[in-house]
Amino acid sequence: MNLNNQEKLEYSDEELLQLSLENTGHFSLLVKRYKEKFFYYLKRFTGFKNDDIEDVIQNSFIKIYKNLNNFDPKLKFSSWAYRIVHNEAIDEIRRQKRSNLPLLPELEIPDEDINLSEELDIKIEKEKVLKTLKELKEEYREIIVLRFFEHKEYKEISDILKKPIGTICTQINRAKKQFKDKYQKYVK
Amino acid sequence: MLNNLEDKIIKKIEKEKLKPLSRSFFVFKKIIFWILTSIFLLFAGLSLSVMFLIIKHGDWDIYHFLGSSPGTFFLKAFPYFWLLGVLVFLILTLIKTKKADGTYAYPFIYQSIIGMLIVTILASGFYLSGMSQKTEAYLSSNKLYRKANYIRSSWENPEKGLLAGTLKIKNNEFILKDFSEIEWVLVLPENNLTGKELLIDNDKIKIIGKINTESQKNEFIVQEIRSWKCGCPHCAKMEGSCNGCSDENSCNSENQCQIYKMK
Repeated sequence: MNLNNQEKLEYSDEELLQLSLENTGHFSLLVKRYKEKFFYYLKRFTGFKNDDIEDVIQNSFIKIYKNLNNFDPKLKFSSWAYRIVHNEAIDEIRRQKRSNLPLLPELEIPDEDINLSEELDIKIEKEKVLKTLKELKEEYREIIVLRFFEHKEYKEISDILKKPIGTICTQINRAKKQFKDKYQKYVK
Repeated sequence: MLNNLEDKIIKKIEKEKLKPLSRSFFVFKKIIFWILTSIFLLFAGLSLSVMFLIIKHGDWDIYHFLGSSPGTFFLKAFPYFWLLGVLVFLILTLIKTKKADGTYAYPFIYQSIIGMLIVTILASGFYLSGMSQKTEAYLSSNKLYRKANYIRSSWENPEKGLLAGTLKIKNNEFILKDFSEIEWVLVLPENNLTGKELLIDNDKIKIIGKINTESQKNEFIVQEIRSWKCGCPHCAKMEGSCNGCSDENSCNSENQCQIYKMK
């Protein structure tokens, strides 16, 4: 099915999701809309190799497609989709841990995200941020990435990670503290 | 990187003839989830009600027959089995609901409080309806359960004056078959026997007394009879629960038993 650019812009994610139930062409628009976001999210969160990330994204979209009828309209599509991608990433992390593959081998931040420093209210060098991020506990890294790299609201993070907003606030504070503590090591 | 990923995904969907799972499948999954959760809650409630029943109406006065102090007896006889049941089923419920749609947004402490509240309400229902008593009585015929329940197993001590089993009445002779299949001829006092009304053919009973050492047969001199069911003597043999009796002393005879009065 051919869709012109105007159509692509007009549809909301939720409308595309409904239309995808009837036509896979619409689903490909959703893939197109989110594939890069998911790529950078996974890159920051997992540090997987590009090929592995592509596999995770592909599996996630297949899962999203099979679960289209399970979408909860009370959620934003992006929260729901990020949740699926996140769970898929966690499964892959566990699988790689079992296979003793090194995690976060080539974590990198694209240039567009240099303003992370402003968000965290600290001005740090890219390399130090990367190293610090690598050293964070998984639960802190995921929350830092979602909040300060993906710029997700607390409610969205709560929906993605399936945790109460209060817990998210606490974890963000702890994650920031751990980040600062570990970062100090590189400053010295 | 990621070039034509959408095409690859669509190709895979078409090649493997993948379809979105039907809405009814997810509805069914949710129903199963909530049924399972409800079952866990029911079991937790039932366990709590039986635990309360044992604490309130267990035979806590038999410690001196066993040569034990009240404190030691309490520690040994506390219904740990049922406490474990409450904890296991409550934890299972909380694990299931912690990340469930519609509940994950609430702090775990709220979920725990609500869970405990539901379990307490269910336990009250089970207790008031007599369900806890029936459950305990049903399980008490099981040897493994009796072993896990110190009060129950304490009644298998004829040499210490505690005997339990099934009563058979033959030609005005009262014979008790204990759980080791040994038959005892019961020697009843002519009057002032507490629990005499519990002498019903084929019913399970508990007896306080002593072995008649002067007899060649297995004879047991009866001093007091209690119902095998957990509860006060009169309520235990009825279908109701003991909630009507304000305290143990108010229920020393059928005329004073609240449930008996209601009937």
